[in-house]
Amino acid sequence: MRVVVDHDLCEGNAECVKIAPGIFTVGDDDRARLLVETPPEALRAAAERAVQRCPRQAIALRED
Amino acid sequence: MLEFNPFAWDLHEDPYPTYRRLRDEAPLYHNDRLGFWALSRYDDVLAGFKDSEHLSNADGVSLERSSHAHPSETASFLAMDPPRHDRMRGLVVRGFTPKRVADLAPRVRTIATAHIDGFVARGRCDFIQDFAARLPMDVISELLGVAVEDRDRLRHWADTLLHREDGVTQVPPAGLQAAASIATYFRDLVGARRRQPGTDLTSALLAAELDGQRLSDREVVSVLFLMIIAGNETTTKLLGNALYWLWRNPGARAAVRRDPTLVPGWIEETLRYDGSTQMLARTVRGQLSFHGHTLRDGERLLLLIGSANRDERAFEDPDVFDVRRDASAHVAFGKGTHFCLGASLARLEARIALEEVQARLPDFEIDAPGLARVHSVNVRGFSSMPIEFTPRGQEGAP
Repeated sequence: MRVVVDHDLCEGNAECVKIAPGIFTVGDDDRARLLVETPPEALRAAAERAVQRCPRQAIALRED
Repeated sequence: MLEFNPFAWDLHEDPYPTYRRLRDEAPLYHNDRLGFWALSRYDDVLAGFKDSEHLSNADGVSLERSSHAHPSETASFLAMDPPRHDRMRGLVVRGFTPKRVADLAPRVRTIATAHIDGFVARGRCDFIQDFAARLPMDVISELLGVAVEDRDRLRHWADTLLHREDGVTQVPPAGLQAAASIATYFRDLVGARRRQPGTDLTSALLAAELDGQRLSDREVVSVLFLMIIAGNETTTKLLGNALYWLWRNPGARAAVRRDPTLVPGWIEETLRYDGSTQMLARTVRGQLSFHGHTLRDGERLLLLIGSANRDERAFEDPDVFDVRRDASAHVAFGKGTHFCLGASLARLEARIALEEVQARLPDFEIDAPGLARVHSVNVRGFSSMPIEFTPRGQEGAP
């Protein structure tokens, strides 16, 4: 599982940080940053929830 | 026969039973007389928000089509599609990120305190006119650079612009007149800032470049127009709806009084349970299918936010107002491309305003016979809400 953030879409609402603080943080530019690009399976549920809840649909999961 | 007419005052009193019937009996509803489709289930509304390729904002987000001006003249990037939308929104968005908004907190609290000081010794006020309508107007006015003495006038025009008499399906002459007044006001403001720039958003927009070009006066005026309507009216209604439903639910009220950290939960539940933006319109581009029917190019589709947030398919006991529930899946601010730019600001204003109300008017009671509703196509809330409470001293006075 690989997490991808589209920085053109992200507007720093930081919902992902609330849902999955182990994966996301907010950078100095007010946009989401990944703490870990390929999080462990244990964080899959949180990652999927972050994808769903992102107000701007800026997060995607890739299986590659 | 199930009829859904968003222009009817009957519906405004309590649209939720009608929404339930739409979800159960006609999840893709068509109004033959008024010529629109409507989606009412949570999953469908969410899918609609996400599909900005087939559902366009270019005709505006209100069911009424204005015959006088293009919607982007008064709604800027809300009435645009990508990629133009993204570029224009990008100029404004940096001013409204959660971090930037958090910096406004002390100023918002000062404004809230000052307004409460104005009526707290009287033991009564109109919660809408004396507080809920003023706080968001002051906050957005300071951001845009609107002078204190002009705010009541602008607010009056904005109210007039949104108001509809029962059953009226077109923007009435008074509304057009109000829109013209707002546009003229902002043209003057833009002219003044061109001559002498300040530190406000208006000046920042005038200095900004889009694809190597400065914005025209018209483009800046349309952004200001959007801000004054979207950034103001909806927050006013949110505050009123929040106070009303807490008052109607003594259990929730006792919980918030015991534990002020429930204020954000109170706000999110109000956004879900009875949000100020009930519906947003889109126009079909190409073809799009829902529930076995194909919608055709150019047809209008309403996304019923107020219904989606009460969908029993998405929320447990949706008709229960529960400030402790996880309401975060609500779509009160939309989703995706056009997700409400002011969501963070609205949440901040609401949190501070309701914390102050809770702290300083803890025993408020609403004078129910004095309640009056706003009658508008998209926006739901009160225009008047008389409240009484034990008089107290002022706090913000130096």
